[in-house]
Amino acid sequence: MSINNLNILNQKSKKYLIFLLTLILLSCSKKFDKIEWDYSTSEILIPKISTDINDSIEIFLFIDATLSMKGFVNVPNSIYSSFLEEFEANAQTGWKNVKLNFFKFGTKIKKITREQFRQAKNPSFYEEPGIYEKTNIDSVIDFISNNYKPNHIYVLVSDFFQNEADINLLNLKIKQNCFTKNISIGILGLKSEFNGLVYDAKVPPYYYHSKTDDPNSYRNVIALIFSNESNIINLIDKLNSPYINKNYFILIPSKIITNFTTNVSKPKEKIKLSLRASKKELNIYNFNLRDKTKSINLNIELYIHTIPYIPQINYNKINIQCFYKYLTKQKSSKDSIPYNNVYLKQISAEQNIIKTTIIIDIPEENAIYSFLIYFQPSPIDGFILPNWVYEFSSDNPNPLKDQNKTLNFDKFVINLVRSASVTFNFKIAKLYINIKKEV
Amino acid sequence: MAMNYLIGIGGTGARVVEATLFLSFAGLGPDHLNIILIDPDEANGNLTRTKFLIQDYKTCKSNFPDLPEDNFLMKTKISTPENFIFSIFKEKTNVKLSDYIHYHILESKNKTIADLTDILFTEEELNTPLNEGFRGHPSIGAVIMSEIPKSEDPWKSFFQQLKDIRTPYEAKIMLVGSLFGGTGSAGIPTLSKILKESEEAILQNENKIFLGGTFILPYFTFEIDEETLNQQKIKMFVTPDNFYIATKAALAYYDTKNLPFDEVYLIGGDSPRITGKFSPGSKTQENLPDFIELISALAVLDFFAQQTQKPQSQKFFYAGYESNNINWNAIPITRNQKEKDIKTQQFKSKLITTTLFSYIISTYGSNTLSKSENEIEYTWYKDHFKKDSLKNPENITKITSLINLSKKFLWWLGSISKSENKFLPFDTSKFLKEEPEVNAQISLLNPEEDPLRPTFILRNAEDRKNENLNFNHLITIMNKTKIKKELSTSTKFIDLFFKAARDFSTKTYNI
Amino acid sequence: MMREPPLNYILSIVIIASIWMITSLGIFSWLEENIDVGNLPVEDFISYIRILISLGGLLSIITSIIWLYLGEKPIYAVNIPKAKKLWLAMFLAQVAESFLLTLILLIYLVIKGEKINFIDHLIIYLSFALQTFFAFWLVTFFFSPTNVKYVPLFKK
Repeated sequence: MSINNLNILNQKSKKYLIFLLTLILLSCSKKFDKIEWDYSTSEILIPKISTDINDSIEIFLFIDATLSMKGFVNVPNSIYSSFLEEFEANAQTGWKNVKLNFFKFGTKIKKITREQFRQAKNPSFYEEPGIYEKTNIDSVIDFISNNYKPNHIYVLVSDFFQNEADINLLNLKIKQNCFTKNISIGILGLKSEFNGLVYDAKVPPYYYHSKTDDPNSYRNVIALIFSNESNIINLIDKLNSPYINKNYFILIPSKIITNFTTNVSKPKEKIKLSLRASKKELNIYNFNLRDKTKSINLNIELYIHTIPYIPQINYNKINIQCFYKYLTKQKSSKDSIPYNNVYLKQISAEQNIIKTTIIIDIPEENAIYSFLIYFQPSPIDGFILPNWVYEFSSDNPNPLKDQNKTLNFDKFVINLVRSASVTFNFKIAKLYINIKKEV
Repeated sequence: MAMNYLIGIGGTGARVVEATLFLSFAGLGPDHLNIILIDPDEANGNLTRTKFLIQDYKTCKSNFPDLPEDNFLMKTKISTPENFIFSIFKEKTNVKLSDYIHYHILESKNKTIADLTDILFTEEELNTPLNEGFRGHPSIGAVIMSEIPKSEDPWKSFFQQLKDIRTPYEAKIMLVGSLFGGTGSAGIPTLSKILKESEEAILQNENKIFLGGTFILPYFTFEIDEETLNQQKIKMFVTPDNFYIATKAALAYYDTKNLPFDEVYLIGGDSPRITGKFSPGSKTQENLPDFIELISALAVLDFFAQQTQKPQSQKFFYAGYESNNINWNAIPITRNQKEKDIKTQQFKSKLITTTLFSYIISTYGSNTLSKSENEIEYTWYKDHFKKDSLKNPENITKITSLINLSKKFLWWLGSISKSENKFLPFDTSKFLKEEPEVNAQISLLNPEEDPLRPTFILRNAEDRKNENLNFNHLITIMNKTKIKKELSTSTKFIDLFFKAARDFSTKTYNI
Repeated sequence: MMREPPLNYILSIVIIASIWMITSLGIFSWLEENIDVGNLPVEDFISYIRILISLGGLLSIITSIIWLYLGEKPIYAVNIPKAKKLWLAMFLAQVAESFLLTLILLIYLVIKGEKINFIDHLIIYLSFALQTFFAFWLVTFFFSPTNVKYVPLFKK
C-alpha cells in the first residue's frame, strides 16, 4: 500500500474510532444499581459441623435417683440398666478424650464416683435419703446453665413426670437458661422393663409391672441431652445399642437448616416485569418493572435441607418477615425498614421443596426497591411433633389406663419447641428481591 | 515548422507510403507529414489501397482531435493537397509516349529529333499505352516526368509551401520508389533534379530542400503466365528476370548523374518473395505488403527524425537481411548506434501496443458497440459511458472509422508477418483466423470466445514477460483504467482501449 | 483505491464491525432495558443474541472477504453474468443466515420455555438482517473490486 493510502486510512480510522467510542458510550446500558445487604446466611444456617471432632469432651450424666426410678432396676438387666451401663462405653467412642462426670439427683444434686454410678443398677441407689424424695430437674437446669461450655454435654435421665405447673416452669427455665445461651436440647425416649411403684402421677403411686415379652408394656425413660447440636448428634450417633431407637429422638437446636436454595420466577401475566441477571447463589433476584401495577406476584421455590432429628416443619404454617431498602436519584434509605406489604399465597410442600407465591406491594415512586424476605415456621404451630412423643405421653397415667406413659410429656415437648422457636427465631430461608421501577 | 514531404513513386512507393502511414498510426511518425503519390497507373491496386488509407487516416485523425498527449495513436498529422496523386497524364486512357512527345509532329517538322527518338525508343515503347505505368521502362518515365505542372495540385501546394520556407534545408523531402520497375526508377532521378533545382528551392546560395531518397531493390517476384499474356496481347511488361538488370542499370545511371540527394537509403534482400500472379498494371496490380516496405518506412522515418542542417556530404545508408528470421534487433531502426537499443524498444513497444489495441477494438470493441445498452455490463462501460450516449450515430461512425483503420493495420501487419516474409516477431495466428490475402477482408479471432487463451501475440518466449495473462486480465486492466472526463465520448472510447492495450502490453511483454 | 486490496478488506471489516456496534451494543442494549423474556434473565438472553449476531457478523465478514477476493479475479472482468450469480448466491446465503439465526433464537426460547413479543422478535430479526445481508450488501456496494463494481444490487 502506498504512503498516500496509509495516510488516508489513518485519517479515516480516527474518524471511525471517535464514532465508535461515542456509540459505545451512548449504547452502554445503565448498570443495575445495587443496594447492599449483608448476604451471609449465618442467621439461618447451622454452622458447619467440624469434621474434626473435638479433641476432648466432658459429659455430665445426671441420673434421676428418686423412688419412681427404682422399678427400672427391679428387673435385672433391664434396658434402663443396660443403657446406663453401656452409656460410658458408647460415649467414649464419640471423641478422643472423654471425661465423664456422674451425678445423681432428686431433691438435690450429688456428684458420685464412677463406682457409685455403677450402682445405679441396684435398687438401693434410689433409696438415698435427701435425694429420693423429689425429682428436682430445675436444679439440674441451673447447674447446666451455670457450668455450660461448648465442650460440655449434659445428659439427664429421668422418667420425667411433671405436672402442668412444673412443665411451664421447667420450660421457662430451659428457655431462660439454655435457649438464651444457644444451648440445644435433645430428647431421647426409651422404653424399659419396669417393676415397681409409679410416683408423681395425678393419682396416688401405683404399682406397675411390665410384661417381659411385650415391649409396648415397657415404661418410658427420657434422656434429655443439653449441648450444641453437633455434640448432641454425635452422641446420639454413638449410642448404638439395639434398644435405642433413633426414631425416638428429637432435637431442638438453635438453628434448624443446614442448607437452602431458592428459585424465584414470575408468573405468566401481562405485566411489564422482566427478570434481570440475578445471583441465585446469594438468593438475589433482580427485576425491572415498567408497569404502573401496585403489586407483583412472584413464584417462589425453596429447597430446604434440615438438620437431622428436628421436628417436622409444618409447611402450611410458614410466615414471612420482610424488610426493604430503597434508592432514588434524590434519596436512599440507609437502614432497612420493616415492610408488611408482602403476602404469602398458595403454599405447598413436597419432601423438602416448598412452593409458594408471594405478593409484593410496590410503592408508587420510581426507585430501586430491595426486599429482604425471610421464611420462618410459625412459632405456635410451625412444627409437627413425631408420633412417638404423643405415644409416650398421657395427661393422666393411672393404674387403669396409660400406666406406663409419661405425664404431660407431649405438653413439655410442645412448649419446648415453641420456646425454642421464639427464642431462636427459626428461619428456613431468605431471599432478596430487587425491583427497579421505571414508569 | 519544418516542411516534411513524402513522395511515393510507383507501386512500391505507394506501398512504402502505406507502411509509413501504418507506422504513423502506431505513433512512430513525425509530428507532421505531407504526402504525394506519383503513378501514371491511377487505377493501380497498390496506389488505390494507399489512397484510401490516406483518406481513412485523415478522417480518423479529424474524428479524434482531442486524443490526449499520452495517446500516441495517429500522432502524425497527415496533410495532402486536395489532389495528392500525380498521375502524370492528363488524359486517363491510352496515353502513349508518341502522343506525349508529339512524335507525329516531330516526324513532319523535325525529322532529326524524330530519328533520334526512333533510336532511343522502340516502336512498342512509343506506342504502348502508359496509363498502367511505364512497364519497367524508366527511360520512358524519365521523359514523361521531365516536366511537372506547378500550377496544379499536388505541385501547386508543394511549391507554395516551399516558397514560404525561409531557412536553408528546412524542407525535408523524401522520394521513395523501387529501382526495378518503371515509374520509380524513372521518377526518382528526374524528380530529384526538378525539385532541388527549382527556383522555389533556391535561397540565396543555399537550398531550402534537404532531399532524401529511399531506393528499394528487388524484393519480390511473381509467376509469368505466358498463355494469359498472349491472350491479352500484352507485349511490353517487366518480368522478375529483368529486375536485377534494371536495378543495376538504374544504380549505374544514378552514379554517373551525381543526383542531388543529401541522404540515400538503399533497402534490399537476397531472396525475393513470390507475390502471386503477374499483372501488367491497373487494379489487378496489387501486392501484399512486404516487410521490406516496413524497413523502407523506417528509413523514411529515420530521415524525418533528423534535425535540419546543412549537409556536410552525401550520406548513404543501406540495410539488408541475412537470416530468414528477422527479429527486433535485426531491424534497422536508426542510423545512430547509440540510440539503437532505445529506439528498438520504442518501436517494439508502440508496434505491440498498436497491434493489441487494433485487435481488441476490432473485436471486443466492435462487439460491444453492437450490443444494446442493457446488454453491456462491463465496469469500464458503466464507469465511462453510462451517462454519455456512446451509441449515437455520430459516435458510432467515428469509432467505426477507427475500427476499420485498425483492421487495415492488422491486415498489413499480418501480411508482413507471413512466414515467407521473414518478419516473425508476431504470431498472427493468435489474432487472425487466416493469413491475409490481397483484396480480402481479415477475419479476427474473437477473444471473448476463449478469454482464458493467453494473449501471446509475440512468437518468441523471450519477448513474453508473463505467461499467465489473458484477455480477462486485459479487461481487468481496462476496468481500472482512468481517462479524462473532458474528452469527447468517442475519444474516451478509443483512449480507454488504447490505454488498456498499452498497460496490458507492459505487463505481458518485454517492452 | 477503496476497491483495491488490502484497503477494501480493511474497510469492509471496519464497516461490519461498526454495524455490530450499532446492533449488539446499541440496539441490543436498548432492548435489554425494554424486553421481557419471562423467567429467563434478560442479560442471559441478550448475551445469547449477542453471540448469535456476532456469529452473523463473522460470517458476513467472511462472505464479504471471499467476494472481494474472488471479485478481483480476472475471469469476472468479462463474465459479468457469472459474477452476478455468485454475488446473488452469497447475498441469498446471508438472507438465509438471518432467518437461520432467528430460528436458532426461537428454538432457544422454546427450550427455555419462554417467549418474547412480536415487536421484539421483529427488532431482533431486523438487527440480524442488518448484520448479515445488509452488511454484505453495503460493503460490496462500496468496496467491490473494480471488475465486479456494478454487480451488487442497485449499483448502477
